[in-house]
Amino acid sequence: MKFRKSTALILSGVLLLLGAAGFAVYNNADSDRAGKSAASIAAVIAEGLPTKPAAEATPQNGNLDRFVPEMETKEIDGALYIGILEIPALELTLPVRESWSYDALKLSPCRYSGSYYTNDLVICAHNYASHFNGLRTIAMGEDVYFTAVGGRTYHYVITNRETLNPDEAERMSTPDGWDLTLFTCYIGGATRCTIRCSLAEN
Amino acid sequence: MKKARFMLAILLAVLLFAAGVLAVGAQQAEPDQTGSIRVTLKIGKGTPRPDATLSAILVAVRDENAALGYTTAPAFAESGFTVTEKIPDEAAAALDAFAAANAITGRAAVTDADGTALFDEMPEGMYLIRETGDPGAYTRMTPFLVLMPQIEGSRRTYDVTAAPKPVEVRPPVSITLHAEKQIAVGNGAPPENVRFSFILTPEDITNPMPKNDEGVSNTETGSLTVTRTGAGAVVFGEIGFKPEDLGKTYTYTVRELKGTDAYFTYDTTVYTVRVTVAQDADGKLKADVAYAKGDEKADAPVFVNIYDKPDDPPPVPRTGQLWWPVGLLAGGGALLLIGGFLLRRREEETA
Repeated sequence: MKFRKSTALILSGVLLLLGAAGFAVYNNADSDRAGKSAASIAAVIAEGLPTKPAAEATPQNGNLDRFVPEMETKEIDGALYIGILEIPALELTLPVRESWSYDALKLSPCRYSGSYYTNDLVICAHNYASHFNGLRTIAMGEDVYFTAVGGRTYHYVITNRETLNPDEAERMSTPDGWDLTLFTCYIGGATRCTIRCSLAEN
Repeated sequence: MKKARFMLAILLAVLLFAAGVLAVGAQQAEPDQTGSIRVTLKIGKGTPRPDATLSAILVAVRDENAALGYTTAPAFAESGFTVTEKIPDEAAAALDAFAAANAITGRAAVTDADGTALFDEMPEGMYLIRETGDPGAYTRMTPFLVLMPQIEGSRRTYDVTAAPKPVEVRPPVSITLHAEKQIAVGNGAPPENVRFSFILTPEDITNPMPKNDEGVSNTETGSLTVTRTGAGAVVFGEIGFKPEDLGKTYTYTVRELKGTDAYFTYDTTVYTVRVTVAQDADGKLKADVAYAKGDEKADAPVFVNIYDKPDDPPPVPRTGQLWWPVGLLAGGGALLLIGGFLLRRREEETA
C-alpha cells in the first residue's frame, strides 16, 4: 500500500492537535495544582489570623535611631507569607508570598515590591485560572481585600487597568498614586496586565 | 431829692448786676461733683465674669477753657492722645499700651459674682478702663474709654454704666508639626510620582495629636501616618494646647516608613519632638517646640532618600502559562488536517 501524502498530512495534523490538547491538559492540571496549593496555604494563614489586629510595631528598648518597620510575615513550609488577597468578584482567596521567584509563583501570588504600610504594594501571579487570569476581564470598581498576617484588613477598589511592557519595571513598582497593584501576563506573555487599586478604607 | 433817688437806682442796678454775675458764676463754678462708673463684664454670650481686676485711669480732665471741655491728663501728655469730637476706635488700645509701658495705675476694682465692678466717687473726666490682673482662662478684656458724666444736651448723668465687649475662654495655642522630604540622586532620574510615608507617634497615647483627615490614625498607638508624593514638605497638622496644658511637656517621635520603591534607599533617622506649653509676657499660652536626633539638638526633621538606578535594570517577571503553543499547535494541526483531506480527495479523483 502506497503511503499517500495526504495520509502524512492528516497524521501530522492529528499529532499537532494531540500536542495542543496535551499542552492544554498540562496547563489546566498545573493551574489546578497551583489553585489547590494556594488554597491550602491560605487556609493555614487564615486559621492563624489574630481576632484583634496587632498594634503597629514600635521602637524597642529606646533604640529609636535605627528602627525600621517591616511587614509581619508567617512561615509555612519554609516560605514566608505576608497575608491573604481576596477578590470576591473572581471568587479568589490567595496567599501572598513575601518575595517573588519563579518557583514561588508556581505556588501562590508573590509580593513584587512595596508595602501596605506605604500604600504601594505590588503583587504578581501567574495567569492560572486559579490565580490572576481573571484580572484580564475584571470590571472596574470591584473590591479587593488584603488581610495582613497581623490581622489588619485593607480594603481596595479597582480603579484602573494598564498594559505594561517587560522593560517597565520601574513604572510597575512606582505606582502613580495607586495603593495596590496586581499584575500578570496576558495570554501571549509579551505584556503585563496591570490592575491598579485605590485604598477604600483600613 | 431827685439826685438821691437817681443814685439809689444806680446803686440798686449795680447790686442786682453783681448778684446776677455771682449767681451765674456760682452756677458754673459749682463744687467738684463726683460720679461712678459701673462696669459689667461678661463671658461669651452672657455668663458673668467674676474676679477680674480692672483699673480706671483718668486720661482727660475737665477743662472749661478747652474747646470740647476736656484736655489730656498730665500723665498722658506724652502719649499723643488729644480729646476730639470723635475719638478713634484704636485710641483706647494705644492708651492701654502707654499706661502699661509707663506703669500708670488708676483706681482698681474687682468684678463681683455678677461680673460687675464699681468705681465710686470718681471726679469728672474721661477714663480708660483696662484689665490689669491675670485673666486666667479667659481673654483679656478689651480696654475702652468712658466719659463721666455722660452728657446728652443739657442733661448730665453721673452714674455711668458700661458693658464692654465680652471676654472669651482663652483659645488654645496651636502649632503645626511638619518635616521635609528630600531626594538625593546617585544615578538615573527618579520618578516624580513616588510616595513616601511618615509617622508621628506620641510617647503617651493621651498626648494631644493633630487632626488630619488625609492621614491614617492608629487608635491603639495614637500614631498618625501621612503620605506625600515626591520631595517637599510633610505636614502632620495642627496640634492645639489648652490652658490646662500649661507647664507640661509632650514628647513625640517622627520617622519615615520604609518603602520599597525601586532603586530607593530610605532614611532611617528617628527624630524626637518635645513641645512645652508656657505663657508669654502677656499671659498668653505659647508652645515651644524642640527637635532632637538621638541625644543631639536638631532642626525640624529632614528625611533624605537616595535614588540609584542601575544602568541595566532587570525586567518585570514573566508570569504567564504558555498558552501560545496550544494555539499554534491546534492551528497548525487543523491546517494540516484540512490540507490532508483536500489532498486525499484530489488523489482519489485522479486515481
